[in-house]
Amino acid sequence: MTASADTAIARDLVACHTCGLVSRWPSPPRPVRCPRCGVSLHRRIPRSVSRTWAFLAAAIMLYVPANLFPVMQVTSLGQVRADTILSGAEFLLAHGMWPLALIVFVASILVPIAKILILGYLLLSVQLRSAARPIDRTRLYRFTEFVGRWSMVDVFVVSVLVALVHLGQVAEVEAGLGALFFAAVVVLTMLAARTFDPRLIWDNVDTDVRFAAD
Amino acid sequence: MDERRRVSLVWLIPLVALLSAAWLGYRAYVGQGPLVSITFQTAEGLEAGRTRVRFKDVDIGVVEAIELTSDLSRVQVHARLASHLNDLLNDKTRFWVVRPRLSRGQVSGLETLLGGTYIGADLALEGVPQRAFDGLESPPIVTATEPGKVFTLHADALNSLAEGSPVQYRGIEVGRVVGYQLRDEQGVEIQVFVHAPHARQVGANTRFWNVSGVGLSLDAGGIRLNTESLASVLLGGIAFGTPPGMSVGEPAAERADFRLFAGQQAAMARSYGQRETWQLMFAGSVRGLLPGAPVELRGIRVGEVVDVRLQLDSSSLQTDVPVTIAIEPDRLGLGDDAGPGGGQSAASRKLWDRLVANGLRAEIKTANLLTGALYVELDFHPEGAPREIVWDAEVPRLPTVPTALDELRGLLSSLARLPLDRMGKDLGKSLEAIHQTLSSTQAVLQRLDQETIAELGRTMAQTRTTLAGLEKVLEPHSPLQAEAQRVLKELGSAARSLRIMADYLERHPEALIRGKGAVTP
Repeated sequence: MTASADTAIARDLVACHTCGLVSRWPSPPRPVRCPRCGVSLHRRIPRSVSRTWAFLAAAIMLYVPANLFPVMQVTSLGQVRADTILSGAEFLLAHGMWPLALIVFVASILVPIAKILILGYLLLSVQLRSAARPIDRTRLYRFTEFVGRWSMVDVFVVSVLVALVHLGQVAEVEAGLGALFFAAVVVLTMLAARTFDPRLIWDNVDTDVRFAAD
Repeated sequence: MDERRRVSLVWLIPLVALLSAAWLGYRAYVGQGPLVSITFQTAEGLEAGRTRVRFKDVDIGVVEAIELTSDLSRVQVHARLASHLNDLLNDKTRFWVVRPRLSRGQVSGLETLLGGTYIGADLALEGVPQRAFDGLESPPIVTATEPGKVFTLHADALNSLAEGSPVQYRGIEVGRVVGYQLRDEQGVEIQVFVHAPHARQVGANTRFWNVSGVGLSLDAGGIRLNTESLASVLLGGIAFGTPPGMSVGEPAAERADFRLFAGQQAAMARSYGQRETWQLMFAGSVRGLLPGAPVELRGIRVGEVVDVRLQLDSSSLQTDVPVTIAIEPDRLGLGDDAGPGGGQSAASRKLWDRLVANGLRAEIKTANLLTGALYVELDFHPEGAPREIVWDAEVPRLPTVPTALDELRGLLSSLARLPLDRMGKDLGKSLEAIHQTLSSTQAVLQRLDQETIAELGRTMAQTRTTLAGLEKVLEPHSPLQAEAQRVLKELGSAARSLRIMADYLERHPEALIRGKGAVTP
């Protein structure tokens, strides 16, 4: 590695991701632990790209049943109404509750798809060693990580309704299989965002410093 | 570098995700039940994707799509049923829409007001597999799985019966009319369903009769008014039973045929085997004699009138009324020696001859003054001229005596001959005598009245004084009572002294000799 920019790698330093202590990176490289807190040290998240791809793939595969199976089943006066995410949003819109419909649509459809697409794009850009728009890409990543948790709104709504609505014949709510899959999708995208190391973006920008991504 | 060069375990996660998604997809696809198409008149209340299909209140499917048939005459409903019904859909399966309904005296389907309409199904275990059905417009009266038997009744006319009319046994509703068909020349065929435990009561000897509405009959027997339950008055009804004295017989098989009689009387009439036909010639009017009128002997029905006609003799311009009657010899207790074809055997002829020789004649009498119905009475008239049975005529003729009307005419004429004015005068005289007697009796009574009452009054006053005296005597502080009390007291003290003396004597028996007061050392 040639060192011209002032990076930790250039200086053979590594920061502990738990306690923050900066230590010297051994060379020849070998697995080391932080001298202060004992956690194993890595300069980049190990196997970030492949792990992120794994989580992302799982999330994509589970997103299909999440949308096909009903998320919530409401039994009211003998009538059973099972709704998937899309049909629920449709129902709210048809009954004039468009702010709720908007929330459901954004949180349960827009955000997960956006996250998947963004993470996919980031991964591809890193793997293809693209140097284009690193600041935008970093911003995208930060947005993804921040907004991820809001997809759980739909799952929380379902679980709160199931717990609260026990009105016998008048109304009963049951969680459907779709809620389970959707929660899994959200968790997997959150994990995918966590395992993606954004520093990899910059590794390809600064051509002087190159870190072999796996 | 700190990475290991093997495939990371993290790839298990997408693998698991893939497998579970694939398996769910496979199960959803393979686990799909059969798709049936049902046609209805209207799709009122049905909603694609939402309306359920239910059998005995168990959810067995859902409506997937609703569309119109190509000729726009009916609505085609595609429903996907549960997979375990794959082999149970056959030509006996029926579908209908359950809506709130008022029919046949029953309200049904009210639960759909809250829960939404649904399609009801009736499944049968066996039949020819089928996937396209014609939906019923109203729920079937009897479901395939209901235990019981269907019987076929034959009647001349439907007579206010309808689908759903009750079938009763001993006044209890045990079944319903399921359907009926017109059988051109032979009348109407009616199918009735009788529930299982009561189907055993339908046997070889069972008779079915119509109990619809109100039965009113005005005939030789009088006026009769018959009704069964209110339901049968409104909806029509059928009842069944066994004629008295007969057992039910072997239980009838499914779809056995029976005749539907017009009423209970007709059904229970003991039908005897043979009938002998006779003819009776009457000269007077027989207005009120109808076919079916009874022929009675000593008040017991032995046959009925079959035909009443007019015979005009063109040469002498005389009218005769030949009345054809049929007698059931069993009812006469004449045994079973009848000749061929309703005729009379030789022995039977001899018997009839002897009866007629003894004075057996046929006569028309009034059965019911109100309706003017007539009947034929066979009775013995030994005082009349000797007659004979005419065996050579087409139908053997029994000798007759003139009808009551003719007799009445005779009676009237004899009445005319009575010395009515003389009777009237006598009557007047008797009345006067009675009048006198009455007035003298009245005088006697008046006298009695005045004297006796005064006497009675005096007696009453005396009784009162006596009673008052008695009262005084019996008063609590009356002298009598005080006296009585004193006597009682004296008696009491006397008894006490006696007792003391007795005690003393017990202790000192020598006192009897020595006397009291002797001091023993």
